[in-house]
Amino acid sequence: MTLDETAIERLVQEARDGDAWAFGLLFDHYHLPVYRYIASRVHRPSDAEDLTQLVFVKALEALPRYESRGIPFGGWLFRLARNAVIDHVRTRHDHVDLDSAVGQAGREAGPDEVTVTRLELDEVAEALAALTDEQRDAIALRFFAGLSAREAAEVMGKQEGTIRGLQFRAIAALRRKLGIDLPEAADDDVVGHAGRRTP
Amino acid sequence: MDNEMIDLMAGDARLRQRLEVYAETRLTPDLATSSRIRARVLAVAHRQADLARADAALTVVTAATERAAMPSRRRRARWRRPLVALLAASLGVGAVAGSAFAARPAGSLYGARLWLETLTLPNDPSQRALAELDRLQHRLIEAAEAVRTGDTAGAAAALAAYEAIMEQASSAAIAAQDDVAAAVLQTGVGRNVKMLQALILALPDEATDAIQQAVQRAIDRSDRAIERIERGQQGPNSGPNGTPGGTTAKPTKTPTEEPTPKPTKKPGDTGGPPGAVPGAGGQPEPPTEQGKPVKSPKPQHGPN
Repeated sequence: MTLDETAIERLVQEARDGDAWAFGLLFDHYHLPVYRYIASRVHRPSDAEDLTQLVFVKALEALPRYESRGIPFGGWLFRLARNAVIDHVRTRHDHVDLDSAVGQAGREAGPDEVTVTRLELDEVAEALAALTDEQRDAIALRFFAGLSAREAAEVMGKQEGTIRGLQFRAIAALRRKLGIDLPEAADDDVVGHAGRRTP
Repeated sequence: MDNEMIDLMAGDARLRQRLEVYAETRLTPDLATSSRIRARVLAVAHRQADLARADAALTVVTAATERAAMPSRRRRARWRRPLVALLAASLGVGAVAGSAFAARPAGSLYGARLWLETLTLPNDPSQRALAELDRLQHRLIEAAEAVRTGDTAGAAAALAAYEAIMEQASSAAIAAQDDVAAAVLQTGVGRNVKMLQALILALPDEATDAIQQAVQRAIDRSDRAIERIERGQQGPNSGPNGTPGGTTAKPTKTPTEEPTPKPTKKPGDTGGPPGAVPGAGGQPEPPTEQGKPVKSPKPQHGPN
């Protein structure tokens, strides 16, 4: 479902006024990126499910206190998600390291994976697990959740330039780990893009 | 992936494709998962909305009846005030001689005080229901205070008074066939049940069996009163002109409607507090259909 900022703000207002239907639409709009972000940061799909639910319930409870103040609803929601992930990792000592990545890779293959080389997916999981926490967070927010650099910066509480640096280094590390070589021209292109400011 | 990110990864189609495939296969919830999360989250959303609506309704009713009560109270005051003053004066002798003690539960003037309270009850059914709720609340406070100070006789007297007031109030609400009065009483008495359940759990170990039984009796009486009021509303002659009442303005059911285990003092009691969210790990579960108010139809969207 596609909703513009105005529609989202209206739905947020209605949800704040106790309209469960409006909150349902917000859920429909955000649940996939939120789930993807969380799933990329925790081991088990069951944890991702529980945490996604927790994030939306927390959002529901905190909604009366939510004030836009320049932070869009999506950014606020992802901040809740990030805090939930941090709490989860802290309390359960749940680290996305190589072992866990292998553990996740060892799960039962779904029907979608039949046509995809499972080994390749495991390699990606391991490459992601090898990133630093911040690099992984930046990639998860930017790539898996689809946030802009500015939104990701707000969620992570960092400068936009810092996020660009993190994602640039993360992409470089992923390339190395996955053995993907870039032609020189393309490599220059990536450096150029990563270093520039968005208009 | 936004344009900026695509731009960033320009010339690296292989990496982009591998990450996209990874996200699709490993990070995307299946339909069943999405539906499960949605159902649970929206169950909480609906429950919150229902609670907010019920609270708002009660606030409106309370404010409206209080506003309406003002002039009639002034009218009644013309003849009631001297009468109450006379009665108060007649009780003044006892008051001077330490009536504060005598008017406490189980004191010699406690009965007189309760009777005096009835003199100021409004005639309007919904206002009366609110006033009776106030009286019930006072009795519970008195009972709790008596329990706290170990005054067994006082607690028993306050709880007995609670039962008597409950009987009068529910009978009056049923006789008046007033939906608002019934709703006010049902909601308020439902809260009282929670208070009583908390009280029974907080009873000190040395509390006598008589106190425990008295509190339990008050809970039972409250439950029965709620049922009576509900039956009274649903009765064939409960609505105006003989039409069934409560069909359009059926009040939100009180928490006591859900089967809640009677609290006991035994250690290891598994009976949770009323209204506790069931479900493993504190995760909210969809509410039962029982007791759910009728909701205005709105389209429900499936995931995605």
